[in-house]
Amino acid sequence: MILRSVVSAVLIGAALLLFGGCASLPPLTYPPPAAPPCLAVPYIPQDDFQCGPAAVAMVMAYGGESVPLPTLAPEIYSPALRGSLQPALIAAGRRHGWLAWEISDFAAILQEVAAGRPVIILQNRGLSWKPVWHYAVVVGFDAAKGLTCLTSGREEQRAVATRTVLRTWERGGRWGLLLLPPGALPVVVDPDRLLAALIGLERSDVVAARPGYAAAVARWPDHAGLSTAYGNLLRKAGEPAAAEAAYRAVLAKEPRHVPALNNLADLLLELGRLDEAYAAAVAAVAVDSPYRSTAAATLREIERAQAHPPDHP
Amino acid sequence: MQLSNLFHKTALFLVLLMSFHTIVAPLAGAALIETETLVSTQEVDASRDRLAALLAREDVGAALQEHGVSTQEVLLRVNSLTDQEVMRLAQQIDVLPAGADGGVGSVVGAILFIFLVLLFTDLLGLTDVYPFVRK
Repeated sequence: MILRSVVSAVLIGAALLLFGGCASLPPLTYPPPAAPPCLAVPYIPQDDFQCGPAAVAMVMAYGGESVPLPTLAPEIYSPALRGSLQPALIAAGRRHGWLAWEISDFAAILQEVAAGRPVIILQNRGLSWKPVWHYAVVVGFDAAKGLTCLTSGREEQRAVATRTVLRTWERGGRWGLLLLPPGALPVVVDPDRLLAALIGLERSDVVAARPGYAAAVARWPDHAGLSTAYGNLLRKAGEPAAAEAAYRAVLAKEPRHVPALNNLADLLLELGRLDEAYAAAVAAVAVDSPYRSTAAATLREIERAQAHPPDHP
Repeated sequence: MQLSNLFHKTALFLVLLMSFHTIVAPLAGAALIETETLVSTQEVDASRDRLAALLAREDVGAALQEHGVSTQEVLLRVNSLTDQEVMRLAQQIDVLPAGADGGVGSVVGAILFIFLVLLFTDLLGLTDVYPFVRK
């Protein structure tokens, strides 16, 4: 009897020592509840150590794209690590045309889930000194009962106490990943980070990035970076008129925006509209910016074209 | 072994270098300001940022090869990441956790003390290692 109380006292003492830093959690604000308690994300059982590919496969399958595990595993898994690195999940999502959106705020994760989007999280289900890493998918929550619905490559949907999920998620480095099909934007989103995410997608899949840029520009028409990037993409897609409109939309609000000025000048040069190109390039060079040498190169090209018109060599 | 390793690294660097040329090659004679430089640090020269990113891509690629990822896959993975992401990754790749889930077995195989501690913390809802513990 005495022995038992001594053992439990020792264990409680050890636990307090180990978890002193994370004993209290910040209050969590739940979004309005999701329509169904848990999203019907299909269960795809994982191979050993391959919870990363399984999590991505499940999210994509829920979004209507069935990518088999034998395809995803070589894209995501690192054999020597017997695990998957977070950037590999991001890269694989992009290679299949999905926007990768990292989330470091659990309330934002629940907002995406409430909007019908499952979110992958990295958990350390063990302890900081005895980690048990796992990628799981948040598929629902019950604010009243304090439960979060998880699924992963090794478990079909199950309800876990939200405070447990929060703790394992914090211990895992507060990392969540939302994968969105072309054209969809996150619920909790800011334009600067969205631009970076779209650039990442564009690296792997220009076609999939286009509707994303279109949606982003429609939502933030005043964001110069987004519109300039959209112009660049349209030009590469062989649509100079639409690209010109995108650059000019930027310049209507920010007449001294050097990337838009320079790229408009470069586009107009290609189109043979040298006078307009020259005016834009001169304006670009006049601004002190990190892009000055590029703008100067553009101006030189235009002057060369003016001196030697291609029609009269 | 050493030699083939060196060969792999060199090959990787060359392929990355070639892909870099297609990135910076001007579109139509004059120079376009590429989208990716729009989000680089404003104070730093944009082209220097891009070169640093290229070197970071090589570092990350070499690390991934050591992790047993094939050269072809390494290129595809590394090229899917933005300059900023790849530079961050180059600094972190040795310390990043690899989401793995060796299953319960690896934990059960640990010494009894760890088993008991994890069981106890599972019961408290602090950890989530054993599926048979209801959280």
